[in-house]
Amino acid sequence: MGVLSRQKILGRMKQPRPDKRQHIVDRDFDAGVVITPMPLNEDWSDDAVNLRLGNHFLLPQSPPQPFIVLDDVKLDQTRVHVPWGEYLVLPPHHTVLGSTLEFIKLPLDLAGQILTRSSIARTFIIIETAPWIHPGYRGCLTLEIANVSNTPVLLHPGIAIGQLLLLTVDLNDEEKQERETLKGSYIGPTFPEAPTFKSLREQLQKVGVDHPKVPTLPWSSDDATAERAKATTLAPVK
Amino acid sequence: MNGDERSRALLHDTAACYRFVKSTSAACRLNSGFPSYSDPTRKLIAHIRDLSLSTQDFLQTFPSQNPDDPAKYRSKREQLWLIRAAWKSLHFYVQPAVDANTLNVPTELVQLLTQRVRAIDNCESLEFAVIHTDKLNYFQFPPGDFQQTVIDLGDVVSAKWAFPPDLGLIALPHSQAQHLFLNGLLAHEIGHFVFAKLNCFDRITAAISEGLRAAFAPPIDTALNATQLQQFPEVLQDWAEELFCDLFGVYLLGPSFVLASIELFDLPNILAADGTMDARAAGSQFKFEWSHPARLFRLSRQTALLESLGWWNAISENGSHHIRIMDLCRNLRQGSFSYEEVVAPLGSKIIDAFFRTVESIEAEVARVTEKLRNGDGRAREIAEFVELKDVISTYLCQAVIPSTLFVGNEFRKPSAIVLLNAAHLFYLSGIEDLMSNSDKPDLSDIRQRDIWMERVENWTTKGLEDIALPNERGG
Repeated sequence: MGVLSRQKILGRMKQPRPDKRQHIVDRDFDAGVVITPMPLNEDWSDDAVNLRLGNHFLLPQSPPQPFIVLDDVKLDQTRVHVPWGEYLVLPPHHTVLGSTLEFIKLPLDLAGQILTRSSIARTFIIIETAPWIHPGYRGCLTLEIANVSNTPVLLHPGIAIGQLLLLTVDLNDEEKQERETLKGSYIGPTFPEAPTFKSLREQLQKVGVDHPKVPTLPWSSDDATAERAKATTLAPVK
Repeated sequence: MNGDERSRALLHDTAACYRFVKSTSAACRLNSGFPSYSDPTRKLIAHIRDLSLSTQDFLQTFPSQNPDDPAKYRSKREQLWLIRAAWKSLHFYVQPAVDANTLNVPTELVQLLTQRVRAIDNCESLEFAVIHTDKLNYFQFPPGDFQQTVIDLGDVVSAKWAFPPDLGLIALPHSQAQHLFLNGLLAHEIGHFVFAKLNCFDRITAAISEGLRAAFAPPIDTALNATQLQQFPEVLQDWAEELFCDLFGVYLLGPSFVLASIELFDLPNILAADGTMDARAAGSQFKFEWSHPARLFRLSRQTALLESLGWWNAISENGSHHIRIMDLCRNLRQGSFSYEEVVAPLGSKIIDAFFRTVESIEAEVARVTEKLRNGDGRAREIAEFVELKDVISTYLCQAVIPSTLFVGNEFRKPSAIVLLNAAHLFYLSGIEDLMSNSDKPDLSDIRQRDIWMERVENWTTKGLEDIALPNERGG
């Protein structure tokens, strides 16, 4: 697995040659990298390209209960749009979901990794905790931005915040064929999207747990929580 | 009432008015946080806020001149009445403006439309604040309505700020902000503002009079009563302005505007099972109404304009049923239309008068939008559209935003109009191809279609945003 150089990335960006007659799965197109809008000259380094911060953010909301269950329930998040020139204040020890300005499309033989730019990292801003980008991915990258410093930080859309590295992946033809369709939970997002989870019960059934425990709260009026509590108290855990 | 009683009553009512103004304008207290607004909307909100502060300052000193004189008291009462009446009017605009933050209006599209309009002579400084409405309709607030209220109020309270004359107010259905393609209809509403701004009516009024004279030649004209003589020109004026704005929308956005009109007018339902026009379903669409020409008439003129601009040849092979509907409307004749809000044969005579006016209206909108075309009268973007429409479709079909294309061994940024139109056509005819590229596609699943249709609109919106960046070529 090697990291692609600037020239190799640019070479792969020049690879897609859309066929006017054929919309469906064009192999030349599949082989190409897309980064749009096109990064500026100064955003390239020998082995990486800078990615800029987009305009959309998802602000986490405090849930009604003092914990988050990684279940198939949707988390409450408030979407905000920050126009060019404006900024979002990220208070100390707070988090927000953002996204890259650039939309990325990777071919099936390349994976990517997004890293916090070193200068940004030195302000104790972390932009990614899930930095791996799978082959075939397409979309703006969701950034899990955390301010771990003791000072508020202003986030202006358009600043170069991360670096994208591309790496080759050895997939055989069979594996490539399996990945030829558009798969995954997040296809082509253009702004940060709230996480999606499979049902907690379904996930844990795979390890033999039919009734996962979830704490109940005396003030909770949530039917689902009540149901879980009921199940927790009545059903034996295997 | 004696002087003291008058004074106390006036103090009380002034304070009540103060509270009314303060609460009405409370939502306009902008801060640097969220939500965010486009510059024109921010201007509108700030103007209402400043007007509120001026009103409150005025009311603060208002009762100090003790109205011993009953005539002065009467004058004060009238001023209070004027202030309240003005703020009752402004109340209508406050929440719709405050709700229309950049997340809830199609900001990229409005910027594109503004940029296009500014290419027109004497429209270089126009800008548009898009605000919400609970009606499922797009409309433009006639400049006079809001501005006159503001001017009248400003005179009473001695406000220091004048409302920007080049700021248009347009209403967008509050639920439709994310529907990029449908929102192309904003171009029609911008047309209303331009129509008033450039006094276009003055240039077609003679044609309307001439049309009426010719259509209502004796002996019919002698049978018209005074009401009809006044009413008919007004009906034609409304129809003329609507047609002007439709054609203006076509000049601004190209086929995308027409496709949006078809959706808003619900015209796909006129298609019969065999793809021809279902006469019964289409019946009402041939009828002119007092405020608007018949929908199929409007569509026929829009399509005719697409032909003359060179768009039709570039889009006619698209497989969408929307194109079929446009094709069916291309050769509708005058006799197909009716106006039934007056007794026969007056309806057909009014339509006759209007048809005699159409050429002048079309000439006027062509004159206004001259800078949006090439010297040969064709739309500037046709050649680029023909070159790139399939490339853009391929990118979208691969779930990729088509804002940086690799074509002919170079990176290309399509123009916004080309991207919008190619993507709109893909939205109508390419969703199944896109779905076929996905995991476990079910073309009959409406939820799946909804997801992919939304994605295409999001990608197009992001593409328009990317294109608007003052980017330089990388690499």
